[in-house]
Amino acid sequence: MADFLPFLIFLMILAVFLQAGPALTVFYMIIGTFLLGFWWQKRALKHLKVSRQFIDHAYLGETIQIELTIENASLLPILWLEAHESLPVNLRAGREIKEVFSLGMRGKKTIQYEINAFKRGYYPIGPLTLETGDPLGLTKPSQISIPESPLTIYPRIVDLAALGFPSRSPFGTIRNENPIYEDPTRLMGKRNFQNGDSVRRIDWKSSAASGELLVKLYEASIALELALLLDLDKRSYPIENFYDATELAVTAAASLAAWAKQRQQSVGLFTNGLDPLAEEALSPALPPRKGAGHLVSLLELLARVQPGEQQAVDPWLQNTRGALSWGTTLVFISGQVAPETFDQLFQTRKAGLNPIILLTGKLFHLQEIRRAAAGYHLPLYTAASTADISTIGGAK
Amino acid sequence: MTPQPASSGTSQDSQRFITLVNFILVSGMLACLAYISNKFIGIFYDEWDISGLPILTFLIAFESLLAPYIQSRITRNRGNPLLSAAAEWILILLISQVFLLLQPGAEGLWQAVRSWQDNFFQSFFDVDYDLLIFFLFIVWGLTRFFSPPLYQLEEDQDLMEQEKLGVTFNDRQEARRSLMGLVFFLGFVMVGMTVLLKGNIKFIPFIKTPTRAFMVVLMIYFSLAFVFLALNQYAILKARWYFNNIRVNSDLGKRWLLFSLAFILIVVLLTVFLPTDFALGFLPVAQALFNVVLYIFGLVQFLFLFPISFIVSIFTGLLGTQETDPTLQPALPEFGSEIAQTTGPLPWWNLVKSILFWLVFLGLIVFAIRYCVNSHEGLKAFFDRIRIRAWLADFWQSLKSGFKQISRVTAETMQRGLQQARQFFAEREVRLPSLKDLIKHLPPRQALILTYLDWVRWNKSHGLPRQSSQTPLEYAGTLSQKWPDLEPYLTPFTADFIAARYSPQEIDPAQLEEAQSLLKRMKDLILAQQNPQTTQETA
Repeated sequence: MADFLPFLIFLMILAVFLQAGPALTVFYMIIGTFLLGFWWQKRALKHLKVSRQFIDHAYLGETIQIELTIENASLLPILWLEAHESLPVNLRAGREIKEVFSLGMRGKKTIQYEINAFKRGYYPIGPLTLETGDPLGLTKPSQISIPESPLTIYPRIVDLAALGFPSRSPFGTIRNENPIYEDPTRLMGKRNFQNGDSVRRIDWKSSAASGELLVKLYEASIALELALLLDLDKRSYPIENFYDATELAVTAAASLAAWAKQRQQSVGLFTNGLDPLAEEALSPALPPRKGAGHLVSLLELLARVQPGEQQAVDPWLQNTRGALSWGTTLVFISGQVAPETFDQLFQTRKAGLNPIILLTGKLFHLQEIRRAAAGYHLPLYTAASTADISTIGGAK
Repeated sequence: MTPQPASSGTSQDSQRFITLVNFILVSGMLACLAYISNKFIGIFYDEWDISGLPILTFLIAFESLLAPYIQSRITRNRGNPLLSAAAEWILILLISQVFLLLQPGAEGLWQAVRSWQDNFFQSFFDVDYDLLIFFLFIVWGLTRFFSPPLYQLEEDQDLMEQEKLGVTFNDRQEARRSLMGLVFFLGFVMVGMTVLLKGNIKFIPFIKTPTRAFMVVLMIYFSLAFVFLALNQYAILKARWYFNNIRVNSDLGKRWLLFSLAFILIVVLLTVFLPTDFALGFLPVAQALFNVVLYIFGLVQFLFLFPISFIVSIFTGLLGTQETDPTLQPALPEFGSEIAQTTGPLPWWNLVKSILFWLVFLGLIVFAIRYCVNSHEGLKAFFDRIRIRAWLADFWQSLKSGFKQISRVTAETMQRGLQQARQFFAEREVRLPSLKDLIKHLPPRQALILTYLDWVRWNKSHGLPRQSSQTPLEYAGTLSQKWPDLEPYLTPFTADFIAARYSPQEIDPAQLEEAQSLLKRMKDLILAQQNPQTTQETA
């Protein structure tokens, strides 16, 4: 536009002072071309409908099909549309999704591509940038950005068939003779009402049916849970194998969680790593629960979590301990254990929990650590590779 | 997802096709220039009128663009450029001479050939031919200006590959800018010539060709120019996409051409319908618009004030005060008188057309300036720095608050005035005109009846009301009993009233006067009897 501004000024002068019709016609043509192009491109982008379809959760190693549909909802055709889909470096493997095409009246364009789930994580697919301009290039091209869609790639899960942690109590929900732990969800039977029975125990329906006042009998139980304490403090891992060790720690946590779920065991996850979705990036605590839904939440957190330096290990351990119930088996997963951490874990043991240490990656001063663990009577396991994880707690 | 390989034969064919289209477009533009130049040269040289000049120009321009292209790009035979140009010019000279000789027909050609025997150089290189050659030389030169940037924008796969590797650099934007400069320069010249030809300039003779023909030629020129620029833009973008490894749909080139043609067609159609003639300049139109605003303001004022003034005039009439000066009454403003002063004898349609023109014209300018400012960071920053927008916003806010203040004060004043008026009328009983005043303006019969009424009211106020069942004579008897002295006056007075009220006989003013005189005496008599001292003092 600025390039032919002097010419336009000349035309204006001719048009206004000399009332020259031809000059005015040319003036209209130039300005009209400019305005029409400007309006056209703005309108074209305004009436674009874009959708990105794919399965937004995947396991490591899977191939994800992504389909981008760009539709022109307007009657005005779009001469050129440059589409550029940004992909995470970890997934695209050198490919770039860039294409230029035209869209006719109510035309539609589908771009299909695949990405490979090479690495666990929470990835944004996109944003998709769409750019168009007028055919003459008189106006600056306009751009819109279609927001990214999240993709969660779960961490690797290793089969822990041989797992058998030494325990003061067996895993899982076990019976308890102490009646104060009666579980109202476990109905054992009914009996006649006796003096001193709580009115709450009366089974009104059965009483009405039998004509006698009956009370419910509950099975006494106690839940012994598994809590995974994943230490992702950067200072806990040696710099030499930081990436492998942290990923191995996440794999170990995910494998233990899946193993617990298989055995209908309550499992929880506590980590001091960073969660990109969480407020102030502090990962949320997932207290021990059962079920597939809970496992999915747990795996999602494990997919997202990244090492950080926001929470030091010892205060974090101290805080987390309070949230766990008596008898919980606590698996502390880290890259190394400092003497202060041993103290914390010992305190945990004294509080009635069952701490187990699992160290991942290449370990330095392993003998010293083993000695310290033995001194505190804390079981210690190590995993230098994925294969080691599958043999934790016993020979496969 | 890999970018389309750029070295395919199809791509080369497509590129050659686009280059050919570009050559045709440039030749067409130069043909338009030739049409207007042909008319323009005719002003200075009367005998000059070569009807086929645009066609000849087109052919020469096309040849001048194509020949070097074939030589350099297709046959790759660079040869000696001077020799090539010389050969080209010999051809142009011959074609031009044949073209010129064929103007009057085959007979003219024969005569010219015969004249060569006498003096070849004088006959061959006559004024017409010299002028034509001069013009064609300019055209040829212009094609030489067009060629390099066009070659620069062409999609040469080998060069682009080298560019991608960073071995060479081709400034395509600069090439496009140079082409735009050429296109607009030629357009500038053509518009200038057209304005001189059809601008009613004294020293330039009138030419028969209608203005519309020039407008059509200019529109053709700019349509071709825009399609040409569109293809150049495509070349630039295609290079960019190639360098960025962006996959491009294979049919985009053809679509680009078709779309550009359709786009320009829409612009031309829109341009045809926009107003190009205006009878009034900007200031008269502004004045006319101002007058219209004033008229609307006057009309609103009239509609507001008329009911108020009407009510006030009724009240003043009833209260018997002096009549309002008619010049102070609000008058309906005359529509069109001011506008007629502005527009003179022109019809309304001219005014509407002029307003439309100026609105479109100024709207386009404002938009273009706004766009220009927004797209140049420096300008935008400058305007932001001088805070013109903030000033305007402040000014607007102060105007708004001022208007609000005025409106509030006016509303409060009106409210107060209405309250006071209401209070005034509530406190003060409406005083009807006195019977005495009315009597003055009524015929004798009615006046006499009212005189009697006055007598009855007066008595009522002095403690002797007339009963509703009493006839005038019975009432007269009652009064006589109280004031026996009244009887000589009261009997004829009552008789006058009965005559006026119940008999068909004529009542003359003398009778009325008599009745009024009797009434006065009776009142005086009663007053004298009631307050003898006061009466004496008054007397």
